[in-house]
Amino acid sequence: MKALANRFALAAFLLAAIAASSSARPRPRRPSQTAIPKVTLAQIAQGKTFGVSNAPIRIDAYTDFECPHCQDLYLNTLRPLIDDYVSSGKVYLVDHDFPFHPYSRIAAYYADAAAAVGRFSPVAQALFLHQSEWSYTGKVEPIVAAVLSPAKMKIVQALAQTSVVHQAVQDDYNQGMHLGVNQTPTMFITHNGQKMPIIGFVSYPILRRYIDALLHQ
Amino acid sequence: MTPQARTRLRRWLLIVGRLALGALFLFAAYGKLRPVDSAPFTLASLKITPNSLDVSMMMFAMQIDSYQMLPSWGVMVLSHTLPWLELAIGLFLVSGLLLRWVSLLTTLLLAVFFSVLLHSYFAGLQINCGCFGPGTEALNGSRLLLEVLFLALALAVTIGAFLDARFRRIARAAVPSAAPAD
Repeated sequence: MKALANRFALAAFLLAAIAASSSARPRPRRPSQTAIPKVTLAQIAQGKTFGVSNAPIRIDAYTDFECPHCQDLYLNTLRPLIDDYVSSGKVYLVDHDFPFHPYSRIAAYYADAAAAVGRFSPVAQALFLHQSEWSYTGKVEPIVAAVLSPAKMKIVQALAQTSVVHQAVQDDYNQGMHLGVNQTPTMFITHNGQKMPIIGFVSYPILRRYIDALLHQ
Repeated sequence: MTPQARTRLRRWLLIVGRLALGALFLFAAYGKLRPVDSAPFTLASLKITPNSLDVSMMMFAMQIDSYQMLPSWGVMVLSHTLPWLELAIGLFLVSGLLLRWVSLLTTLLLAVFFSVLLHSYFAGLQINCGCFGPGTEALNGSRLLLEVLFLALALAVTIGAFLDARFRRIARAAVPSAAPAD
């Protein structure tokens, strides 16, 4: 009987100790000190598009922020394409996240959060441009902060933790899997209702000629 | 097996081999030259027109470009010549004309293709092979294995063609002169 009482006392002591330690543990700082705007999946998807949706050619690019060939494609092919063909209404470019690498999902959360506030382009460009700086550590925040105002950065930081942004990234990934994407970069060029997959890096001079050929068809 | 039966079998194997290789090259050429947007599948949609040819060649150019081995001008030259070369090789192999030299050229070409694929595979390039035109033929181990089989077939046809020519020469020399003896 005495042994049983001792066991009860020990259990009570342990429970009290656990309760005390959990209440003493500092609560994680919630990033929502800033008012988080309510965003929808459609808003995020819209933020990752370039040009007009009724352009004769649509390009869906599935990229991973940590993949070197995606960096090459974004900086050396898609950027000039945006300047020459998207701005003139000939091409509608839609960016999709397809995170494969360890930290690319974190980068995608920040990029999609930036898309929700209309700042996808500078954030995506910065993430690709400084890929080597964060791809080993996963520290994407300083890279994103460098191209946003402090106020916008706070919003993006908060949004990047939300389930809607996580869902947006996952939706892109699922959509890519459904289309048979299994490597990055992969582009789908749609013209006259026909969707053609282009796997791997393509240089701008060659892509431009292909688009010209499609436009003259 | 009699020597005659062995010769007949060797000739039949050579015919089958060159027809298979020729069909492969014709299929590869058509895959690159056919209209890119040929779906929904109809006979009319498979018709090659000057406009569709331009788009198809550029689609093939993008696939060559993804190997990142050639400058833009090199990509353009290769994309506009290789499908026609494959078409010519296919026709020559099917017809059996100049078999020794065409099969030798085929073997060399397939050896080049294989080394390019091997190099790209080990360089970690995640690309579409582009061997039979646009699509999603990922560059992977099974693709490389298939390429080895094509190369082995081409090599067998080349060896067979040279051996056949040699045996024919020997057989011709062994036939006694048809001139009447006085």
